[in-house]
Amino acid sequence: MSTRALTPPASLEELLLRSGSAALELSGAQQSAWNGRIVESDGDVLGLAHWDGTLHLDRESILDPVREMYALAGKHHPTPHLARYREAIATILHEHSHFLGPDGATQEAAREGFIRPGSRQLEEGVAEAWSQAHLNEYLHRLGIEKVAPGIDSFRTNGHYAPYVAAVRMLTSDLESRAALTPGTVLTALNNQTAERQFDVLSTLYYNSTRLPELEPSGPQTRLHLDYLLRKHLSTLDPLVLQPHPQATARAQAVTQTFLSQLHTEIARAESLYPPHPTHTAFAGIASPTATPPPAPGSTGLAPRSRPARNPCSMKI
Amino acid sequence: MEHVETPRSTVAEHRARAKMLVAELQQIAATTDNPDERARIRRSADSLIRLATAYRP
Repeated sequence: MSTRALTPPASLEELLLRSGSAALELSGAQQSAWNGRIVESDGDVLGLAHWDGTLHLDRESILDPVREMYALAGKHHPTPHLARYREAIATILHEHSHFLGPDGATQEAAREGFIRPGSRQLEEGVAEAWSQAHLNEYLHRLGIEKVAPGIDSFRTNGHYAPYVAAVRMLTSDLESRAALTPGTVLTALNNQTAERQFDVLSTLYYNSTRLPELEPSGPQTRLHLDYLLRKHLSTLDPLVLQPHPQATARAQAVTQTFLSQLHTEIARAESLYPPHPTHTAFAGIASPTATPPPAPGSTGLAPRSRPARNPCSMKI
Repeated sequence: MEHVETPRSTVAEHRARAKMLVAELQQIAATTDNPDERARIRRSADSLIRLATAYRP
C-alpha cells in the first residue's frame, strides 16, 4: 500500500474525492461507511458524519478555506491562515474517523451503540484525539504540505477538549497497564464503530487486570468496568463548552481522580482472590443491569512484552 | 447509580431534548463574536446532531 498519493490532489474537489480512502489507509481500519457523497452545509453544521454515510461540511468554515488554499497553491501564508486551512482538514479527517470500522460493521448497529451513555463522548474524544495525532501524516499523504507550505509545522487546539483529555489519559493508562506500544489503543478504538468501541475499551481494561484468570464471573465484572467508564465519560459534558485550557485541565483532574479510584477498585477486587474464589469481584458495588454485549472479538493488539501477572491479557 | 438501557418510551424524549440542545447551542453560537468560541460551540452542536439523528424517530 502506498504511503502517499502519486499525484496529489490539485483542487478541493480532488481532495474530497481522495479524503475517504486516505483516511481509511492511514487508519488501518477495514472499512469506511462513507458513501462518497458530500453535502455542503450553510451554517447548520461544521462537520457531520451522517448515519446514512453522507459527509456534511460547512461551506464557510471548511470548504471555502480549502478551496482558497488550492487557489493559492504553493504560496506562503501567515500562521492564522494556515491554521484555518489546518482546522478545515482536521475536521474532514475527524468526520471520516466516525465512518471507520471493522469488516461487516453497519451504521445501523453503530447508531444503536452511539445512544448508550458515554458512547458519544468516547467516540468524539477518540475521533478527535486520533485525528490530531495523525493529522500531519494525513496532510503528507495528500501532498498538502506542498500546497500550503508550513501547514504541518505547528499544531492547533482542536475541539472536544474534555473528551480528548480523558481519552488520552485512559488510553495511555491502558497502554501502560498492558505494556502496549503508545498509540495502539487509540488506533484500535478509532477503528471501531460505536457498536463495539466501548466493549473494546472495557475488555482491554478487564484484561489488563488479574481478574480474567481469578474469577469465575468475568462477564459481570467486565460489565461493571464498562458501567464505570461510561459514567465517567458522561460526567464530562458540562466541560465541553469551556475554553480549551480550562476544559482540558478540569477533565484531566477528574479523570486522574477516576483512574485512581478505578485502580484502587481493581486492586481491591483482585485482593478478593484466592482466599474466596467464589466471591464476585467488586462485591458490594451496584452491578450494571445492561444487556451483555456480544462476545468481543480480537483487536489484533499484542503487548510489547507480555506482563507476567496476566498471561491472558489482550485476548479480546 | 444503576445503568439501564434506554426504554423505547423515552427515545422520543431523548431525541427531542438533543434537538432542543442543538437549537440552543446554534443560537448561542450565532451571537458569539469570538471565532474560536463559536467553532467550539458549533462542534458541540454537531455532536448532538449526530446523537439526535441516532435516535429513531
